[in-house]
Amino acid sequence: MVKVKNSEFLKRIKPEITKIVRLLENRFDYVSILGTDTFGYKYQLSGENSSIEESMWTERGFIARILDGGRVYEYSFNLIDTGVGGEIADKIVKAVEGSDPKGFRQYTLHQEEPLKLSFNDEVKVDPVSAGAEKIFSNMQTLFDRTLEAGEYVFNARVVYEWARVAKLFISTAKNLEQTYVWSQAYLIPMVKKENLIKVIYAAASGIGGLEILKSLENRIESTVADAELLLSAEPVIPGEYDVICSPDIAGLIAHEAFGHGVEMDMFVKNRALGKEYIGKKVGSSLVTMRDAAFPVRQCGSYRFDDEGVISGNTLIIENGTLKNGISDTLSAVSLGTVPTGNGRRESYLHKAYSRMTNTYFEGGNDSVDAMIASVDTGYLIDYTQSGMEDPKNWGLQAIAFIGREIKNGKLTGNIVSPVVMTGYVPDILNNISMISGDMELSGSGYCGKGWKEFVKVSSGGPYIKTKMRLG
Amino acid sequence: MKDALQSILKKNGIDEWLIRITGIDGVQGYYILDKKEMLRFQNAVEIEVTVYRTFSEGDDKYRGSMTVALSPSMNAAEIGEKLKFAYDSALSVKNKWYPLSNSEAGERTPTQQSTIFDDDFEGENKSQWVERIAGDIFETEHSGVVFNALEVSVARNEHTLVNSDGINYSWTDYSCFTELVTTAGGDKNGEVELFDLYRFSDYSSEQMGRRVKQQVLSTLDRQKAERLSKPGDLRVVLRGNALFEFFSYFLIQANARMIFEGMSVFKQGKQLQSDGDLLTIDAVPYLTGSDKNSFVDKDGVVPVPVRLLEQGKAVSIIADLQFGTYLGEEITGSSRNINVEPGSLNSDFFNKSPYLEAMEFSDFSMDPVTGNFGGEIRLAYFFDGKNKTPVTGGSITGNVSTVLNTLRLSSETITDGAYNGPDFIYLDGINITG
Repeated sequence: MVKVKNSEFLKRIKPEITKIVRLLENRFDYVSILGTDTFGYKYQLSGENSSIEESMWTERGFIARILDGGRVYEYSFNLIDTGVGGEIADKIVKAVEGSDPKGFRQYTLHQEEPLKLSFNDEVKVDPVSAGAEKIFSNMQTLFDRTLEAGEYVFNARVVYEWARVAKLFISTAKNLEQTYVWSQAYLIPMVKKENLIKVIYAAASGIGGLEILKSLENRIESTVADAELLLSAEPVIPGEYDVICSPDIAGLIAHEAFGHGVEMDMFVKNRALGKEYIGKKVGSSLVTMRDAAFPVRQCGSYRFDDEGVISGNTLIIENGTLKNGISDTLSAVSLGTVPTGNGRRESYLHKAYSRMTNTYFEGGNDSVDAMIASVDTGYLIDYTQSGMEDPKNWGLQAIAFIGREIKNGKLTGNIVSPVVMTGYVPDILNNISMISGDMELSGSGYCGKGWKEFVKVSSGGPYIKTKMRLG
Repeated sequence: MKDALQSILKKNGIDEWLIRITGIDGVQGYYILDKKEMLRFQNAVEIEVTVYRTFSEGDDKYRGSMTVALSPSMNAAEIGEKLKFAYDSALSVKNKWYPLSNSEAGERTPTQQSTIFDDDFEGENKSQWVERIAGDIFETEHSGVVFNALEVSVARNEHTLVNSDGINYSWTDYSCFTELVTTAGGDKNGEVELFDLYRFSDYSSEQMGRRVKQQVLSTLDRQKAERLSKPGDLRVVLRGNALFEFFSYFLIQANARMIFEGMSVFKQGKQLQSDGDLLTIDAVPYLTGSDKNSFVDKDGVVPVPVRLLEQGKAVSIIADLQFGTYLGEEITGSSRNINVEPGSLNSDFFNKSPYLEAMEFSDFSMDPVTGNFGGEIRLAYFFDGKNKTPVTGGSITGNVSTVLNTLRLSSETITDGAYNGPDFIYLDGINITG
């Protein structure tokens, strides 16, 4: 393992950022500045085409948060150099003073305790120094083996993306720094039979480097086999079924069904039914669910959030009872609660909201074999396609690529596709009757708030058995 | 910045490149009820440079490339180091050769469209745009409905795109959005909400008013809605945001990369429909107010309209510089707006046999490879042949290939964001789950 290198830029510019904070704290009630210097690359390889481009998560910029007479302002900027701190402070003052002070909600922020933190993570195979040639060589191996793994494979795509995240948070009381690397990789076989084309994907992700790409090697055969099964898949006959959700789908449900529903900025706006159910039963007593940016090591991990709050490990549901929500700072102020370290932004150009990190169901005591054996007619659902939250009305919409048919307690080898899962969230959670022991998290995608504000998260859990409407 | 970058590129021996610079000047207001939670300002410059290499192996000529993001806070040494890394890495990208966009091929001129923002987006004035747009929304009649939360974002983007083959474009556009959450309470279904994310590049108070009014009506109807149960075999009418998603299937299937990689069934000259209203679809670079307008695409090509389908027959493809060259097509650039010609259905259609008219989905999704589409219904209207009642819940699923020959299009059209086309479409052969 090697230490992830710090951002030389943030180190160089830190005195200037500190100067801006000191200049502004004389004028305003509260000032903080978050600095980001994240960079990474996305490598793609398919049949006769390859590319390298900057990761969509690359950013280098700053957000000043200001509290002035109870009003909250933010100023996003990235034009900075040594010696121009005074000029930037003047621009921020001008922007705040030039806007109409009427019509604001009033906030009094929590008193910050003095805190200094410097967190440097480690990485096994450092992608920063690996170089394009080595990375493409690994990808080519995956590609070649995928083409050979099935009769109907006509092409494939291999994607590897990594990002080195570096952040700095300076306020009157806080001085925080963190650096870490995450990676994600996809293997996407494309299969064709006559005019029918199907694709599916295997994904790997986590805090780490090139080893995450290599971990896909042992999933080539199973992914290609599933892609070829799609060529003979029938649509599901709409109805309510006993279902077993793979860890991937369990994570999707944890994330969409309840994770979004306990984002406490939604409590402030009365947009989440969960607000009324704190301390009440919302699921079967088998259900325990958490959101933890640390010590879980996945793509939603960090040591402090984008508002300078130390990362949380929040117990959301304990034995079926809703215990806690997750919050950003302003929501916690409005609700009179303690921030949980879940204030996150898409980038320095965006506002912070209450957001999930790594969200998961905890494991149970059942074996997957016993779960399958308990189903008379139903499906084992696998491979997330998409999901959408509805925290106000606790409706779930999620789509999976594959439903593996179960008849008389056995997998038949037939599949249905696509599988649209809908239902009332407490019904789904109350109907959870079996949970397997092993737990997996996946963070290869990203999460939006509605249709925007994308952040890296992970979600997962064990296999769970419940009932759902499929269509 | 542009000149400094060119100088660093030259110093590092990089002679094929493309620079994209965007200056962002924005303001955002976030409201809870009618009070601002926060006012935000954005003042930034974002830079991307694509470094190209031409190299040969035997008789084969290749194009390598890598795109990197730079920051205005980088010094010359940092920029040089990153560009050098990109130049070295580009050798590992071994694609068939294709040309860069050049000034001779680029006789097309980007069409600078005037916008309402142009006259009044200077200095501190820009924050007044947040107040003005929020004001238009809050003043819309909304009895029985609460404007629960609102986000307003307006940004002016100053673009520069220059490359080593003589392309040199500058233009200004605006990227804006509103996200409005509406709620309605009551004694039957409890409180319900709808939310609408509206992205736009130009502003019309009237259009915003119409959109908000429709959301208010839909929210009231969702509050009254019955649970969709035992829907049986029904025709489905699609309206609203789902229309762009539905027709985006053709936009993506007709994309040169999809065709080159064998992921598309789009074959020029092939008749895709034999019955129903035959589709005529264009990909167009510009629609008034669309957030997907492309004055110049990412390669530096000024895009032109492309007829994808005419009377149900596949006609032309969207040929970007790289994959269009591979397929031997004339380069069209990449347009991202959809224009669909209207069809034959008028409002009389709604007085005949039963149907389900889907207005709002949680998330209507279209798989551009398989043509599978579907979504959970947040609001629909069920017409039983006599009465029309609002319903909620359940989902629809279908596949483009199985609905094409029964597809019917309305004769009335709408322009909404990146979509211009029939106000509604009619589909048969859809699975409906209650």
